[in-house]
Amino acid sequence: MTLEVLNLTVQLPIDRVLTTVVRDVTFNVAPGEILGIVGESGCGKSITNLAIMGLLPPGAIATADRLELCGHDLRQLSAQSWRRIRGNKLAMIFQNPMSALNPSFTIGNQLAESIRKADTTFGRKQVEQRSLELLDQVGLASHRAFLRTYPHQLSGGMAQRVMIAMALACRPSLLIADEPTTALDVTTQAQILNLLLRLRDQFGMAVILVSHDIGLIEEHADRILVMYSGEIVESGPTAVVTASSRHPYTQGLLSCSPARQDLPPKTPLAAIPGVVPPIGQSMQGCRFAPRCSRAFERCLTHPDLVVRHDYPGAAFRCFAGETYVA
Amino acid sequence: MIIPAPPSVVLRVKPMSHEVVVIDGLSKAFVARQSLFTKQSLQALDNVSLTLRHGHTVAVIGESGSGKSTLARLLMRLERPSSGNISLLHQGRLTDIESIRSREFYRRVQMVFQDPYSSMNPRKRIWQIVTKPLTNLSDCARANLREIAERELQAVGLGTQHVDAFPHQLSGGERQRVAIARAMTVKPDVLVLDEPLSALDVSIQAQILNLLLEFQQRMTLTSLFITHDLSVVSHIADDVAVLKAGQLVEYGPTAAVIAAPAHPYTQTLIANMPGRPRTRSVLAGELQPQQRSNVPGPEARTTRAQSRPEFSFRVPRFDIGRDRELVQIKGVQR
Repeated sequence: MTLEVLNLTVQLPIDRVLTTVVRDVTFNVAPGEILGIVGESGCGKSITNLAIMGLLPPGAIATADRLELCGHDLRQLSAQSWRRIRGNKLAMIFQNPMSALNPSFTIGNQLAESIRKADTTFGRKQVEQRSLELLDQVGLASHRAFLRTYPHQLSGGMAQRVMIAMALACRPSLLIADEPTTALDVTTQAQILNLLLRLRDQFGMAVILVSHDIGLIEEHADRILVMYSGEIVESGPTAVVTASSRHPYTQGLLSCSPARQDLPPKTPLAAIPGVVPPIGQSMQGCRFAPRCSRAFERCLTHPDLVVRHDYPGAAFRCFAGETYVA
Repeated sequence: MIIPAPPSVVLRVKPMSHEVVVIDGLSKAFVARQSLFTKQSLQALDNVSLTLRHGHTVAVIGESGSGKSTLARLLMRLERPSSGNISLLHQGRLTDIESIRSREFYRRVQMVFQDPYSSMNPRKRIWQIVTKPLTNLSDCARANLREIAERELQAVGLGTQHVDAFPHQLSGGERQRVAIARAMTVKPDVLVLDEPLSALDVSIQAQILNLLLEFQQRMTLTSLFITHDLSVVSHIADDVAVLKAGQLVEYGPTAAVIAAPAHPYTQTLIANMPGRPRTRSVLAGELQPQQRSNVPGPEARTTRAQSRPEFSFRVPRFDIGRDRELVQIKGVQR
């Protein structure tokens, strides 16, 4: 396993009170696997990933029964060992490539920084050569002139490719892509995701793909993790989760897209009413119950994540789902 | 082989209604000074003509840099066109929007912006934001404003608890509802929506889309809907206009354009729709040109596919088309 997470819980100080924002999250990522994490904003997707990256804001507390990356325990690392792991084993690309790149340094400069981190013995010529090689891998023109450009001269898609090139510089075992295409156009979106798929095949790295769009996750991920309000509410192989989902939240997400609903134009779409409860709000029972159309009295107690008997690789957290037949 | 028309094509044909907005030969060039002596101009819109009919929704699609937002800004009189003009049905006849008094113009035309986070004054309460168009554009009694705000917020599905809130206390979806309420307070005839969904989660997008549909049907709004999401287009729009590098490359009834896109650029956009059912290759590739004529609709469509030398900035051009599946996008777009 590339990544093993067992009962990860994250607490953040909100108004000086420690509040639990991610509760008992358990999952694994195998080498070469793409794990899709889906959920609305405020569901704890990004916090989970930041906890894996060791980048939680100051004051935050992450506890886990197990948090291992390629056999290394990530729980008690010094700042120095974190720096060795990040980049070499673990890399992340962010939603907005324009703000993730430093506007005052050239692309070549920023690429060189991560290349030198991976191999400190590289000379100037070798760094340049490796930069061009990386640009070639992400489908950018491997041309010296490109290394001299600044981020503002690039389009969003090109900037995201540069970010991916920087992440690849150290040949990570796990790449976390947090909403990598939200800021991009539809055509560029497809290009970037296909690029990620190709690089996964080429280097055999594991990828965690985070998005609020289940349609996008469905097309690219091998397995899906649906998060709601800090918890995993459904998980399993992509085909199982999308074709025979058991949790009403997953079903709601699936039916939101106008492309999927076979409705005549201009008729109301199925939508999940309401919003995600505010981060850290304590609640009795199922956290989705207030927005759920199938909630009943049992939902006042908190449901556990149960493994599906028809698909042992899939699990869901819902009382109604146990009796539900699609 | 005869391809049967999808049932939606038949459903979509609306009786012809009168023109509310006519955009004629609209061009806009932005001039950027590079140094003391050199200037370079960017042709953001190039000879675009469109018609908004009463009660119809026209969707404008295209990627960033294609001139979608410039079109919206010109229609809102936030920019002046370099050439061409826009006319609005005003007092029974089509009048150039430049010659309508701005108080009257903005009572007829309102806009919802893309970013619900930056399009509101963070220091005003929601009721003040919602009623701002009223105080600006009409002589509404100040005493009634809160009451009006409550009513308008209720119409977009927000409760009274939001009336006194500040924008930062609301979520993105709630804020976009406020933005819609603000645009609707003056009961405009024409609504311009510039990517109203793209800052929102998919689940919230469906809620907002339902709200817009409800308004469309209840008040027979004429709207210009700017988006890059084709699945939204096919659900909400009557006509679709595809912009590429400032030029109108395809324009016609939505169902016809989506079923049989004529321009290769539109075909790529449709093939890249996320979450689209797997019939995509049929739509994109397997229709032979001679079979297209069987699909109803395209004769009503104007197509201009001739290419134009693309604009280049000072930056050297890079050919990013490496992957097989890439579309070639030349020049550097921002």
